[in-house]
Amino acid sequence: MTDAITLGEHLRAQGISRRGFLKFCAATASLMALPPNMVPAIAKALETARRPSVIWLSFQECTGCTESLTRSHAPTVEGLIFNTISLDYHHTLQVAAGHQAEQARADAMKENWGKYLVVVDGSIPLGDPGFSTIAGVSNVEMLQETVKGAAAVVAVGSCAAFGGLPGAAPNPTGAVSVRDLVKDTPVINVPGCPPIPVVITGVLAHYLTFGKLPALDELGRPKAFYGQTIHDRCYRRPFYERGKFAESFDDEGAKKGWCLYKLGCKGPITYNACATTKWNEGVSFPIEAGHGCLGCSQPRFWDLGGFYKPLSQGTSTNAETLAAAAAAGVAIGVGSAMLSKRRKDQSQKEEV
Amino acid sequence: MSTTIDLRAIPLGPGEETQIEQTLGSGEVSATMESLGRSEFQETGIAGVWLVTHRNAQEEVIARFIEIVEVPQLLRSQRQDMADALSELQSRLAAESG
Ligand code: SF4
Ligand code: SF4
Repeated sequence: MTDAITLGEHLRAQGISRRGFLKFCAATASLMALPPNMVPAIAKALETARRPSVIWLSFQECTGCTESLTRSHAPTVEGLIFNTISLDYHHTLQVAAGHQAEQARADAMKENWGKYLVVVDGSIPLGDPGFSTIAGVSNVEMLQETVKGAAAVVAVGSCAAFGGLPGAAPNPTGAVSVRDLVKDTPVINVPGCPPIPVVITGVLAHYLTFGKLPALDELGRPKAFYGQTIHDRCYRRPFYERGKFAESFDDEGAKKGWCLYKLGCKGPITYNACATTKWNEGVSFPIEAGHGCLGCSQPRFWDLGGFYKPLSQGTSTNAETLAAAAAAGVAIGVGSAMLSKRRKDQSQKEEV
Repeated sequence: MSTTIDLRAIPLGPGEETQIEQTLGSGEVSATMESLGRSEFQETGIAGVWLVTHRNAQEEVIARFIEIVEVPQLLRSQRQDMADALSELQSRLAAESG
């Protein structure tokens, strides 16, 4: 249930010092992909933030998104989920089952009418509502009923955001996305298959911190995480620019870490954050492991013509892209410039 | 004046974070802080450039920054904690004398 006390009070009551709180704010800024100079503003906002109530609905899904979230190494998984948000209904994680569980959902809605967040994973089948039901209620009915009093809906994962795997051709269940059905409540799409855990928590943290939704792109994705393509931030990019491509997964180019474009990499058309946030506590991401991007955060990525088929058209390296790259470079700072220069030298050396 | 760079915001390739660390080297001062998990503050071999690593209670790295500053802000005693500490000290002394 929503606590009357603020997050600042909550942390102090637990004996957490101001230092601890500021550390939490610094990690949260990083989590939300906000610049470190925002920390004082975040601290100010979080001090007075109140716990939002969250109702999590799982429809036609594989639980991978929940898995991803609960594996998150964010400062806050235990913290954010169990302390700073009030997760009132999640049928995979909650203890209550059956009528009790449904009662918890009804109570949370009533108590927090107009203020609670609904998180959805999974697509919604319209073909035959019987394809997926919870407590005898069809997914579409449950969604429509639950979003009525919601402040916003967060569609977590490519299935909820775009229809995902269930929606892939020939879409036997008639799967649709949350946005296809919810028109009167703001919907934030957090796609990915699964989405990056810190991106899920980052979006929730943003709402918690500022009490409003982050800036979204035209597909409803938060710009902070989906503002740039994988290709924009790929460390193999210098090889792409020099036309150095791996032609097969075990050739010389692959061993030297050249660009995976010809092996079907969808990085140039995929907006996601994994080139910087990485996976598994920041260890690595698919391209670093030698495999092209599948485009998992894009609509209809299952139907893009084959994971190993190269994109038919090259990406533009027009003036605008180059200017954006330069601006990003400035923001990134000296260290990275030094490294990319070294990479360039390397790629030049390899040319001779 | 200070500048902070979030290492998570930089697209780093394999081994490049280590390269940055090696280039900066380690300097004269290092400190740890225990609050919501351990944090490490290492002044690098470049005076005024600090490498700050925050961990959670499970020891996992949750954020890493390069801070260019005389002393990282978090190493200072914080006003609010000092105020709380003063009343804590007073109650300890009262308990002793009572
Ligand atoms: S095509 Fe793929 S591997 Fe090549 S630079 Fe772009 S994102 Fe990286
Ligand atoms: S590399 Fe591409 S397919 Fe893989 S996780 Fe990142 S965005 Fe998704």
